[in-house]
Amino acid sequence: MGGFLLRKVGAALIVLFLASVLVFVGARALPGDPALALGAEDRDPAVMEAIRHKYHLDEPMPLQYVRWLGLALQGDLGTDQRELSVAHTIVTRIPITLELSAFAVLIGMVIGIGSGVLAAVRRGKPADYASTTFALVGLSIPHFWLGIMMIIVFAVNLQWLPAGGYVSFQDDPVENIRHLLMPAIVLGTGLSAVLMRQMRSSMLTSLDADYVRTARAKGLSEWSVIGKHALRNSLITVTTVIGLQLGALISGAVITEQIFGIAGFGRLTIDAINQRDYTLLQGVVLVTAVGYVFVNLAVDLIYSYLNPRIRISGRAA
Amino acid sequence: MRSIGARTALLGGAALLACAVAAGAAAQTRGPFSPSVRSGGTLTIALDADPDVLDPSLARTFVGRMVFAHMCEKLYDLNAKLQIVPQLAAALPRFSADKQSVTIRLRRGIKFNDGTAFNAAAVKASLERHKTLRGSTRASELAPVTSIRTSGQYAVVLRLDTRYSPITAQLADRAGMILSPKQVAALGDRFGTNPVCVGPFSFKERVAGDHITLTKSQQYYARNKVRLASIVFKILTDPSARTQNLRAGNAQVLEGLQATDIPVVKRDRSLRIIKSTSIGYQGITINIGNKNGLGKQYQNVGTTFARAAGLRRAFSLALDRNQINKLVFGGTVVPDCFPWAPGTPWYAAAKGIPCYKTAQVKAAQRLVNASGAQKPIEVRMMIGTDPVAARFGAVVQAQVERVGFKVTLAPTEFVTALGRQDSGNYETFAVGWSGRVDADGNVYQFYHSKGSQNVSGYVDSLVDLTLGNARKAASLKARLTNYKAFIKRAQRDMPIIYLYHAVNRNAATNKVGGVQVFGDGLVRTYFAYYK
Amino acid sequence: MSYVDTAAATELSPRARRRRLLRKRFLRRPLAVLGLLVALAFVTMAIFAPALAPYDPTELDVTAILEGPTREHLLGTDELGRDILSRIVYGARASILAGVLATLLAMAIAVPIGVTAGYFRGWLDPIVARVTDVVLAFPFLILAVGLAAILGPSLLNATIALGVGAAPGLIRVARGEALSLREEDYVRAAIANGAGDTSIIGRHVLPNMTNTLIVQATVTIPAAIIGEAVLSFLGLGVQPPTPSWGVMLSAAQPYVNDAPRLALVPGLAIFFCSLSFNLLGDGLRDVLDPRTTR
Repeated sequence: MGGFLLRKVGAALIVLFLASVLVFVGARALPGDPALALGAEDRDPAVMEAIRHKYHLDEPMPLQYVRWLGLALQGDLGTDQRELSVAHTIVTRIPITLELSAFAVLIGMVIGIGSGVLAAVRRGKPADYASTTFALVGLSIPHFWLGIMMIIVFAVNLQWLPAGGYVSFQDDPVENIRHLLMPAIVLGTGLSAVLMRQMRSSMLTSLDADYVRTARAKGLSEWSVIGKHALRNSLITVTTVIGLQLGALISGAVITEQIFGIAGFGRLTIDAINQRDYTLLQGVVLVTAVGYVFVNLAVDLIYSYLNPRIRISGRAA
Repeated sequence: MRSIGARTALLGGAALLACAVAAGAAAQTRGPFSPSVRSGGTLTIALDADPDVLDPSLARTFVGRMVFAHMCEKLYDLNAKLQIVPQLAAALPRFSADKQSVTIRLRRGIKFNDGTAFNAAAVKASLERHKTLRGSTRASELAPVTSIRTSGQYAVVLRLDTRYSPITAQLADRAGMILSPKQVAALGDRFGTNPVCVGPFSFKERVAGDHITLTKSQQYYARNKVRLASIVFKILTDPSARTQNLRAGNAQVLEGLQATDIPVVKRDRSLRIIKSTSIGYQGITINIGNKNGLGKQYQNVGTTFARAAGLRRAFSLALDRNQINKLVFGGTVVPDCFPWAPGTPWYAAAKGIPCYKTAQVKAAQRLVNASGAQKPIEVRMMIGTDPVAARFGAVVQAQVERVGFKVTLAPTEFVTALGRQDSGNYETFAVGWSGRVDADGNVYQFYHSKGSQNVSGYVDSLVDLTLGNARKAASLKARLTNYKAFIKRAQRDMPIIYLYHAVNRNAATNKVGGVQVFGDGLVRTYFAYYK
Repeated sequence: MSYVDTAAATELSPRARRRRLLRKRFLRRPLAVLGLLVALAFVTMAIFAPALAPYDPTELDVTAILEGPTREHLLGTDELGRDILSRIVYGARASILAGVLATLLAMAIAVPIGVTAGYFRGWLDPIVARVTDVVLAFPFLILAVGLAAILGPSLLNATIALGVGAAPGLIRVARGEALSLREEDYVRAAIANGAGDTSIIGRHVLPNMTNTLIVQATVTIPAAIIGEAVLSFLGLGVQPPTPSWGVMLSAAQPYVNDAPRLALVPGLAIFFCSLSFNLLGDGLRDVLDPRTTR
């Protein structure tokens, strides 16, 4: 297990290093530079030169990179164009996106696993068709359109839910849920569809398996058979699927935050690109990459723990 | 709480006020003299963008000026009639005989929000910082100022290297903001993280992209006029989200109401719309001579459109400004043909010069035929990437097609477009200007051959002469005469086609009074109150 | 009595026999057939747009703004008086083009890289794995926004961004397939017989991967269609005046209160187009799965 862990962590570090170089170079490949974005209306040459000097843009790129990386490793992600600490901005806005994502994953899991198990157990019956259709719809619907439609129906016409914005849980738990409900449903739809199909398929396979037939023959109740094996399957399935869908979740959060006017982490990235705020952009993308790599590492480890074959052979099936 | 008799109410109110001061700003009580004015409370203003750094020497955004208006007073300010009035100064500036020395007398006995005394030394230090701080965006605004000296404790004298009428207007914006010397000494160029000036409110805290909080200042010289306990500027870049927040009561004031929400706000009796015509303009800038980039040698770029002024005039005549107003903006802007807004003193310079708000198709066709150019004449136009820009592009395309122009749209992201504009890598660009109080600020830098933003690459000796004279002339009449001659020439060559002036629309709940918006478009709530 | 070679007349090659079996299986699945028909309908719409659309999609009619469905305009008009039906028909072009081309691009990148990594292993494999991970560590949208800002917004650049975004997932699939096919008996036999790597890949590995690749393609296309809509919605893809369903959605937002139809119609188009490919893909996966009996 030790060798496996070491290999995985080593690979993760390489990925992070390459990602940091990519975002550094990519930011500087954007046409225009911070001086232009900040020089705004007046674009005084003296001002622009001062801005370039301040962000070290007049130095050779490798030097800029080393300087940035050195500070980043110490936890100092620099200050953005407003002289505000990037790390502080990220730390205040990440929880919002995390909360939204967690809520979405929860909804996705409840609906996805629930309907998947139901479809497998009631195979061939109306419940199965209903669930399968629902999953198909969830996969095919553009979720940003779903968001707009939900706003029209629930916020504009019925006035049941607010059209956007965010209220923190500490301030008002009820409002917090009311504001996040639609965005979380929108974000969780795709995940629930994928989960449902996976669950159904793996449940069907295992329900057919020999050891299940033996258990039934031994007289164990149907529900304990389903329960025990559904549980085992769901852990493996959910872990795999979430690991694979993580990127989609983050991308989805960006659009969802845009439509529902939530000042979360996703919006921050788009704003940073538009404002050519290199420091902010690098900090945000680096943190995203770290988060993604870390979660994937965790998923890999959990998966290998649940599936001993991986541990021994050392590679994913 | 109901009043039970004038005298009792008076005494009772005074006692209550004392309690309120003791209890803290959050308590809501009734003021003793105005039954419908409450003291206290937090006002939330929904802003459409996040201000940049809150340092007057470095700041560049419009929304930043709004925050400053509440916490950082200036030597001069504007009133409702767009006249310049003293704020931290005691009176309007006095010019010497040669017009190159400016004496400014200052208010006495006032303090910065950290308790330090406001005096001539502080003003001198701030103005010098604006001029010399590396990266200062105020440096070009104060360029003609060669030296600043104090004259006693409450007067400063500015020396100019040339006659420069716009100086007062510059001091009525960020260049006139005075910073606490103690805070500048403490924070240096990180002043923007915790700014301290003279103001009705002082800076409390800020979360990037989310909100800025100000609290009532106990040092302010007119603090009895300030009712609110605190103001929160909430950043909501999505216009629909701002409207939602206002209607739901999460914000009491909204800056930047989008055109399509106007009917909804109008129908809501608890809300009111406050509007003012922008002093800037929106139009189409044409590349005539910017072949090698800003500041380099200008030579005609060689396109059909750039070579023939007649074609540019035809383009302008073919546009139907009223229809653009109706289709693209829902009738919410002010169509016009000049760089200054109607209602400003400068607009008189355009008197007598025709401005066609509907399409003059026949006249346009005549000009196109006279030019001998082969139809369709291809013109490439950079526009923004938002839906309004898309509508604008589609309408312009359809309108000029009738007289033989084929417009290709190039939606370009804003910063990229600015880069292209400066380097001369464009044909036309649908762009505007936010506007300056002094007429000079809307034209000089674009038209003068040495103008800092002459992205059209336009050179004309009469224009250089008239703009230079207007800058030096002291009387309004003399300046207007020069500007009139300038406009006539500009309209003949048309490096910029003016289409409309935006109307700043803001909204507020009727539960709050005292919200003011002047011609500069800044929403001022420092003396606002809950009813 | 003439000699009729009945055996020869009824004998079909194994390939043709299999194809007939697959076709029969497919036809037994009504949903898959429906998906195929609707997908073909959208493709036809895209190809023959000029013939099918009643109006020019960019033609303004300032006298008929935001009108409901009438006989002249079956789906009504938008905020500039343009016929919505025509814009939907032309909009199919952007979606189908982006969907199909992005998928082809992703395949063109992923298959060579994935097969090489999976078949040859060695030092190439870990490198491919790391590079794939790096690309995946960037949320797809950030990558697309960055690419669009660097290259400039256009349908072509959006297609490239979508293709690049879809490639890593496909690399993993191709690699996995090559890896397991390499262990198959007939491949080992071919290697033992001294056959060259290229010929093995060409004759044994790639042909046996086609089923999986087809299924992956039918799953990637709908994702790319939605992806194009997202990018156009953000202003990063198709640029006006070219109609695109995503652009129509973004333009509809300010009119959500007055004319929700403007947002409803393009969204439904994206939904049904994507759904049809998903149904088709599901059906194909089912049909090509050796474990299916029907």
